[in-house]
Amino acid sequence: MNTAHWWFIGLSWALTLIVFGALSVAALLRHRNAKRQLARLETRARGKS
Amino acid sequence: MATVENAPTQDAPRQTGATTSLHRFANPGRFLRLTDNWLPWLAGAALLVLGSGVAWALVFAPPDWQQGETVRIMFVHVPMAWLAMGGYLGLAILSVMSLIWRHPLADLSARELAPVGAAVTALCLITGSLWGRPMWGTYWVWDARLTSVLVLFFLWLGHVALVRAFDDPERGARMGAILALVGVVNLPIVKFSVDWWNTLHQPASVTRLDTPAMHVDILYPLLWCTLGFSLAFAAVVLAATRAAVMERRVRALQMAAARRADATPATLRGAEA
Repeated sequence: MNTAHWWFIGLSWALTLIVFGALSVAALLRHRNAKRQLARLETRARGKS
Repeated sequence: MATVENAPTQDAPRQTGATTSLHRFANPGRFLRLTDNWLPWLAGAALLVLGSGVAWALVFAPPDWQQGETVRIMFVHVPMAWLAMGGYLGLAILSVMSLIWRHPLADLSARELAPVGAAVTALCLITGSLWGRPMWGTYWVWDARLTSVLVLFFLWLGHVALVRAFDDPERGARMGAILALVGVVNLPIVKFSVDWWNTLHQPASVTRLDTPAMHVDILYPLLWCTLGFSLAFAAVVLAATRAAVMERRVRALQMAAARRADATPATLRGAEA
C-alpha cells in the first residue's frame, strides 16, 4: 500500500471539514449576534411606544 | 384556507397560485418564525449524517480495486462538485425570483448563498487536484472539465463581488442576478464536458442513465456523504440568510431611532436628560 496517498486523502478531508466547520461557526456567530441585537432593539422600541 | 395575512392587497399585482405560495415566504417575520424551528433540526441532521459519513467513508468503505485507498477522496470531491453545480442552479432560480417577482428574500438568499457556493467550488477544485496527483501524476491539466469548473468558481466569485460593489443594494442584487443567469450556460458545459471532449477527467459514473458504474459498497457511502454535506450546506445558507434578515431589521430600527432623535425638539431632549 502506498502510504503517501494517505497525505492526499487526509489533506482533502481535513480541508473540507475545516472549511465547512469555519462556515458553520461564522454563520452561527453572526446569527447569534443578529438575534441578540434585534431582541435588544425591539425591546427598546416597544418600551418607547 | 386563505387568511387575511395571505390575501393579496389591492396594490399587489395579480399572482398565480405558485407565486402566491412563494410570496408567503416573502414576509421576513414569517420566514424567521418558520425557519427558527427548521434550523436546529437541519443542523442536527447534518451533524449526525456527516459524523457517520466520515466513519463510513474513511473506515468502513472498502478500498477500490484500481485506485486503492485514494478512492476515499471521492467521498468529499464528488459531493463538492454536485453542491457547486446544484448550488449554482439554486442561485439561478433565486435570480429569476428576484428579477421577475421581485421576491425580497431571494436577493438576500442569493447574496448569502454565493460565498458558500464559491467555497464548495474551491473545495471541489482543490480535492480534485489532490486526487489527480496520485492518480494522473499531475495536480492540474487544462482539460474541458477542470477548466469549466474553474469558470464556475470565477462565476461564484464574480457574483460575490458584484452584489457588494454598489452603494444601492437593490442595483447590486439585480446585476448579480443577471450575471448568475448568464453563467447558467456553463452548467451543461461542466456536466457534458467529459462527453463532448477528450478529457483526462473520467466520464460520469454515478449519474449515468443506465446503471452507476460503481459497486454499492462505494456508492452508498458516497450518497450518504453527499446527503450530509448537502444538509450542512443548507444549514449554513439558512443561518446566514436568517442573520442577514435580522441585520436588515436591526439597521431599520437603528435608522428609525436616529430619525426619532433628530425629530425630537432640543428643549424636549434637555427635559428628557
